[in-house]
Amino acid sequence: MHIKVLTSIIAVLLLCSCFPEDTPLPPYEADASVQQLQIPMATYDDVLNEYTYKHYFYLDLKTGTMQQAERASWDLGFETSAEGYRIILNTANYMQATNLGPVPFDTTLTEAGVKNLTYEFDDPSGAWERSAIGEWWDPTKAEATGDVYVINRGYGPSANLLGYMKVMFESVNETSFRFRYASLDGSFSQTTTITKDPLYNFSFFSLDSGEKVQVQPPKTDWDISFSYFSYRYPDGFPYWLSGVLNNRYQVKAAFVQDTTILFEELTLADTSQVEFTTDLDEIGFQWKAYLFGPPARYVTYSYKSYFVRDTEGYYYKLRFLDFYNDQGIRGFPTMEYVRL
Amino acid sequence: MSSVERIAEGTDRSVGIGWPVSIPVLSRRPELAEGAVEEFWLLFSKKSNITREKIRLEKHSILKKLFSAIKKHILWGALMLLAGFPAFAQTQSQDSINQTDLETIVITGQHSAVKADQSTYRVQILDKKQWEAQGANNLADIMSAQLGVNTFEDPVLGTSVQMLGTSGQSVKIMIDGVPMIGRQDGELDLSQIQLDQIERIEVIEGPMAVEYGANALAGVINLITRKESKHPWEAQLSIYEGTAQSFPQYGRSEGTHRYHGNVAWRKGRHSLQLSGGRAYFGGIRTDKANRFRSWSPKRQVNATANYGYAGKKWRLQAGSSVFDERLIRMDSASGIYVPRARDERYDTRRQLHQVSINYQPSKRLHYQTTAAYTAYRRLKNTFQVDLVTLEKLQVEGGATTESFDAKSWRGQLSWKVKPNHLSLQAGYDLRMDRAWGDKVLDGQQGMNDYAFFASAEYKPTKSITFRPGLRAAINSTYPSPITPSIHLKINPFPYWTFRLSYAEGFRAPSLKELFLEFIDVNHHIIGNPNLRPETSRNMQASANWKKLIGRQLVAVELSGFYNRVNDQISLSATGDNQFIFSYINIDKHRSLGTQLKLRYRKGSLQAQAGAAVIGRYNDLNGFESELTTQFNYALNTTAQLDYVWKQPRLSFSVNYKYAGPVEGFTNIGDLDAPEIIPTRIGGYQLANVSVGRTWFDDVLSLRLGMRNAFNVTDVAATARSSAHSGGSGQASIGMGRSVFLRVDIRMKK
Repeated sequence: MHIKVLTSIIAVLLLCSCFPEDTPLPPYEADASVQQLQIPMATYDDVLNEYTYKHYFYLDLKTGTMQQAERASWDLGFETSAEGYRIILNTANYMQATNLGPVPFDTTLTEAGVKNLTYEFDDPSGAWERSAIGEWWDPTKAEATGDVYVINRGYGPSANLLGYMKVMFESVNETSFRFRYASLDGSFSQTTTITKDPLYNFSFFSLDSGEKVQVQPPKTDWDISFSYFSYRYPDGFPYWLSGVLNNRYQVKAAFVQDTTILFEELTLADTSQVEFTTDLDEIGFQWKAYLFGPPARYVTYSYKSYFVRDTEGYYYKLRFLDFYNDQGIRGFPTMEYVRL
Repeated sequence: MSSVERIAEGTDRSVGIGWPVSIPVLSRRPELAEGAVEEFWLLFSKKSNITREKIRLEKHSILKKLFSAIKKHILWGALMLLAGFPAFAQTQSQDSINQTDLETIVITGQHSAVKADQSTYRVQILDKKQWEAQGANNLADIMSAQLGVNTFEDPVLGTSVQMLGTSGQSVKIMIDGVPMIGRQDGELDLSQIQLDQIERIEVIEGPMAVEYGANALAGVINLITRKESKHPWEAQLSIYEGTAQSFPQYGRSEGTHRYHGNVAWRKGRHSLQLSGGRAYFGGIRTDKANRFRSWSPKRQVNATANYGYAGKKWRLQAGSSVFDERLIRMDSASGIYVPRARDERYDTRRQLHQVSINYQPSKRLHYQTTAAYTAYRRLKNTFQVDLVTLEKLQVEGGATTESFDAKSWRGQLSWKVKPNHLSLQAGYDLRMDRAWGDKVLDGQQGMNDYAFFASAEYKPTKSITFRPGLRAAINSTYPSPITPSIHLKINPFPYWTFRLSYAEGFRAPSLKELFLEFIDVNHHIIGNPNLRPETSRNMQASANWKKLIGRQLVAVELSGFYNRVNDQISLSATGDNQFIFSYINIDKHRSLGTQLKLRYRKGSLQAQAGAAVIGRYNDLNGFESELTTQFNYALNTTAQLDYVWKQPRLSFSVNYKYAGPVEGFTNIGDLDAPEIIPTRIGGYQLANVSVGRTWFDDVLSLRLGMRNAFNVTDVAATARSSAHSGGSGQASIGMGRSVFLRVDIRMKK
């Protein structure tokens, strides 16, 4: 009897308090018109033992088809229009360049000598006046500056450093570009020609293989892309982050400034109330944020809505619901979009 | 947690001013807050195997209802009991408040146990009855009420302390002389240090490096455990029930619930003590509808066993204690569209095993030796909770482990060469420290320290005591400084005691600062194996007047100190790469302060009051600015009143503390382009009130009280800047007002 009383007292004492339990919440069910899509941006890397972003994803909103390309498959992108002469860097690799001016291409450089130079990357908005390579060609005089650029190739798929190369762009015409590239000490020096293909936004070139590579789908076949990109905060602090960049060809987007308007209530009529821009990073990364915590985590601002006008002129509204997948792994944004 | 991680996690409480403010890193880079994908932060929670663990929810709904009903009524019932219950017993009971500290014996750093008054340095004694009257359960509760001491709270890292205006990294906390390990970002979590088995606490301000080596730079807190029972057997059961913040936060998962039991037995030369306890704290909810808690719920379990054998000339003491804590950092739901939450679970385990022998072959010789093994391990796990199905999923890569352990062997021989004139002490202190974890270079690192120390206590006349001391050590990792100290005590006139001391101390670079390796995609933080210890020089002076007038005791004490720390270790960007960080010996820190304490006792009334002004000065990476070349002073006052009303056998206790605003500065720029801005932490008041009563010849005692009567939670912490928007944050001070009831049942034979 006594033992029974004693054990029950002990049981009461020990079981009385325990960690709080949750009450179940109702599940969320989206309206039938809403397309829901999860983009598997992150892939597991055996070297890093970590999920990292190794791909570009190109999404066509109309068909819902998604194509992907290896992030580190290219280094330089060349504009394909007949009068086009611009060159882009693979900012998804955190690639940067610095202009040494019209020095002889054979000038021997060392890694120690170039690593403290000030490097620039392409602005994610896609504005040409803020591109790293910039005005190497004067279209009115049809003449190259002869500037030599040192390129910091950034990080490979497993965050491996890709090293430095030097490049000099020699000429461009309606069908091709001609340029020289070499490692810093002048070895592996090559002069090569890359052809323009107007079906695509850019012709991509890999400094590793020395060949033209296929990266993006044809420019009419995709609207928005998901990848790493480089970004400079207003105070000049550079960063490497993941998010959405639009197709340069025809696509426009607008962030709905008035976040009090519910996503469900946005209609085609509202598209005239917002300002569409051709900035490639209009959707960008600010639909999510990293909170330092603890617990440190990403939050996704589902109250932020965006309009997109696709390559064919259709309007969509879209938003993001989550940045984690159902395993709790980040890098799997869930997006909702509706054609208006 | 290292300060690196802290920067990553945004609550860098040691940036610049060495002052634990949680000005989030967001203030350093305000834009980052607005959304960034900072992959590198993420790798702080790296490396784990792919594990899927579903945790089933316990369901005992009937019991649940029953228990919560019982809980709800316990407090009210007890309140009525206390108010209306007639006095049963009238027998004289031990009255702690009558115990005067005139006779209190101290041992920390002494050649042999001496009365506190006779110690060559000031030793402050905290007594069990005193903290029980304040409703204190752990070291954090006690230290927050002390004069000249500031405590700070972190939702995950717990409570850290600051003494002599210097951060807790430089305060050595020991249990029976064995240093505690398991510092996160250099700080020990004071709330993990339970007091049930502690008899008294000896606090010494200023360096005690000669006796205790590294990290005893700002001071020493030595917890003395209960060694043996006065009776053949004794049993005690304690129950502590407290509300969280305000009365409604009390229940099965809310408020504080502590149970502790202790059995002591003694026969002949043998004595044995067993004790165990469980404490649950439900955290603080700020919003009823949200599962997020600003203070995390935690559960602590501890068990100890102690055996003692008293020989004729020697005494053996062997003990083991284990402490286990589970803390769950609960997140709010991520949204209505994705009803999920991300929780972090921290499991901490501490162990301490020790054997010590006291051998006294003659009245003049005393040898004491202690061998100890202490271990600390902290596991972090991240869970994704599906709030629809209530399924919990362990997140891949969300787990980290951190472990430390230390083996130590210490011995000291004291020799009274000429009793009352000269005594000598010599000793050794051998120590092997290890750390291992995901972010430690090569997975595991160790450090050995072999130290020897000696001191003399010389009394040329009855009223002068002169104590020089010296310590030298060989350390496997860093060049260990030779630390001297000189203490002088003079009693020139009756009732007066003057003390003067100069001591040097040092803080060893932690294994993390030496060997952290954290390299990822965009970030590179590496330990610096060439770090030197931080060294300090400390000067103290005090005057004490104490007189017994009839039954009244009056005491006044005025003291002052100057503390100078060089080569303070700081995390800085090194070299040309903005992403490479390492630790360097770069900062300087000074603190300067004065303290006045008054004490009065008459019969069962005891009153204390004190005021302290402490100034702090920091040289941040050698940057000069108007702000950095001045001392910033902060005021601290305390008052305490205890009274025992003999007839209805009630005892009252009130204590109060005011901590004035603290100003400082921080560098929000970097090493090349410093931008120094002022910071300020607001002042706050703490007060605890309680009333207690005993029945049946002390078998049953009840105490009802209120902790943190002014309901202090966070105080404003600001960092103002012109260029940046600056940051205003909160420094977490307390968990708000709590009403508590403590029940003790003591039985003895």
